[in-house]
Amino acid sequence: MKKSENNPFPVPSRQDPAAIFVLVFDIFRRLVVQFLPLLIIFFFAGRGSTELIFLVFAIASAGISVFLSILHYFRFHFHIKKDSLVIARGLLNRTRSSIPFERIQVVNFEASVIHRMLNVVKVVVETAGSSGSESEISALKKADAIALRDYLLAMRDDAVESDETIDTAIKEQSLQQTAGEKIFSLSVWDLIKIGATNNHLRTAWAIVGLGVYWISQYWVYMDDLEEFPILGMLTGVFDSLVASFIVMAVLILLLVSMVLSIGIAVMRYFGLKVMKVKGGLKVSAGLFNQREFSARNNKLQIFYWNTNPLRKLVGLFSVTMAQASSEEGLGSQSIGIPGCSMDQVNQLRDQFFESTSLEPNVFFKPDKRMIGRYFIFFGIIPLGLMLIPLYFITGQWIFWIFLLLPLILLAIVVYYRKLELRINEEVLFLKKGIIEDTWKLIYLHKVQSVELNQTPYMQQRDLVNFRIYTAAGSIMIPYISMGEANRLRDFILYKVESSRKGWI
Amino acid sequence: MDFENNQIITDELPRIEQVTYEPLKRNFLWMALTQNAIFLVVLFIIGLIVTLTAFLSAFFSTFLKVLGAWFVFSVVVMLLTWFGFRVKGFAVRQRDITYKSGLIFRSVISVPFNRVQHCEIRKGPFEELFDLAKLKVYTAGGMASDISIPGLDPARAESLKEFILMKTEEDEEE
Repeated sequence: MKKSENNPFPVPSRQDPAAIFVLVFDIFRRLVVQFLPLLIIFFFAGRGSTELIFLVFAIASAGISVFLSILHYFRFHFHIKKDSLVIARGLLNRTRSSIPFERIQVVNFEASVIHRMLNVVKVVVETAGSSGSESEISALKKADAIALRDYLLAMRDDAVESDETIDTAIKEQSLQQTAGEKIFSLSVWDLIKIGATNNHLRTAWAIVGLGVYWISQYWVYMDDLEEFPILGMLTGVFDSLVASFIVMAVLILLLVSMVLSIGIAVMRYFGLKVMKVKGGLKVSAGLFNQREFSARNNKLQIFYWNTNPLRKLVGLFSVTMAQASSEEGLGSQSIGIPGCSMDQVNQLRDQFFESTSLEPNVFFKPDKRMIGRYFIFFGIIPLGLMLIPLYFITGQWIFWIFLLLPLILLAIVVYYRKLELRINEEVLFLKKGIIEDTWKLIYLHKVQSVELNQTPYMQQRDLVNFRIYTAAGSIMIPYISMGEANRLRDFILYKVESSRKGWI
Repeated sequence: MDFENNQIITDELPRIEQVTYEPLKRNFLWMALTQNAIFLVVLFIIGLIVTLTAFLSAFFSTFLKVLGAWFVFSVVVMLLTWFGFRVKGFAVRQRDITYKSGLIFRSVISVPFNRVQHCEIRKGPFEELFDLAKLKVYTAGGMASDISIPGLDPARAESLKEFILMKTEEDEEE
């Protein structure tokens, strides 16, 4: 059977008419977000005419949204040619982008609430080396979308296979898996556990940061602070009960962070399902906004899993699969699974490192002198520098901040103890962490380059920082001896240069 | 199942530390010195003018001190450029390219040819003046993992680029 006969979209076609609705909401939402600060100012500075302004704004933006959406809908065509997917779009500037099959990395589906009400999905075609928005189809019927995806991926594999020789064993195996076999899924209870054991300090910081950001946003629109009633309230509270306010705030922040973490976890990861598909994994999740991600065996660069003390207690690990970026220069593209048991981590790992022995042969540990140097750089010097601004704020030399030094030393010693790099014939394995524990696994043949760095101190003592770059971030092992570093570099380069395996 | 447990890092692997590094063209030193000198001197002159106009004001002595500090800084920068030049160098092996640099903070970075995304030759106005070219070798590892070799002879840069691209293509065909 020739595959090219099954082309589901041989002639330029429009999206599903539901796209109009999707676009209306999308544009409307964008308009509202854009003008939200202004609206809030109007609200606070309200002088009678508020309702009229709101009404005019609502009608105007609704009108604009509908108008633009209909235009967008009629100006959008896509079809599949012999060797590429062609998308023509744009209101004034007509753009016509064609995506060659072999450049397609993954085809993802996304579905917001509106999508699901209308029973359609958004199709995102990710490619190597171009920005995402030009290869999106806002709304297609689910069946059409699946036909499109399957066809594109089949053609992609054909195009790639004619270029490369692929191990027949892998091919046979992947053929059996086209259906998509479920590996595991997370229940709501799992998600509550995940949310509750989140790093709450980090969330609390994010809340504070967000608050400051919002206030500073509205600051711009205000010429008179008196018009902002909340601020006056805040200063009042500060004047009276600073200490109790801070204690309360911390408690409330932690509580809010916990509730928020659980809420976010449930919303983002509701019904998370990990499926095994041809050449990789597929992860779908989301309560309101259902999203689907693909992790392709070839694209995966770093596989890492980590846990914090709270999570360790309930036996949860989070997994991140860092993939080579599809958009050049925009960082890596990672797929995260927020929490799963060690067994599930192993299951996931086996997907990518199946036939590979993970038994390490050689160990690298930093030199002990690292502790002293890090103590100077991350303890004594920063605290010493902090003395000066503190002196200007409070008018006295607050030397007791040096009481933090033992704590910092402890952190560095723990970091030193945990830090370890192991390698064998196939993979590199880095273990690190202070409070959290992180393990990173990298195929040796996926390394992009290696770098050796030395400070003057390290030059005298023949020590080096050894950095290994992949297409999705780098890892570093500090303070290893020059001799070891040279041997490690020679070995990694040898492995990369003699490898015939695909790395992206 | 055959079980193997060989020592995997043997001494038989080709060693990088044994290669000899090719220095950059001498002209690069002159170019770097000129570039720095222009920058430092221009700022020095501006500072001098400001100081002279403030001749009678109370800030005069402060300005003089700043100017003196700038002079010392300039000398240090020139010395670092001078001695830093000797440290810079590159080595091309059959299957990878290595660039080392850094007088105080030493760095050696190696990129295998079969991981090169693309390379390009850059020539700025100063390079044109000193008859030099800069070779940039890009990988997928991001900015920090790319190699940029300045101070090459333009013809040499061109041949290096050809060589690397040839090696990269060779690898893709295999």
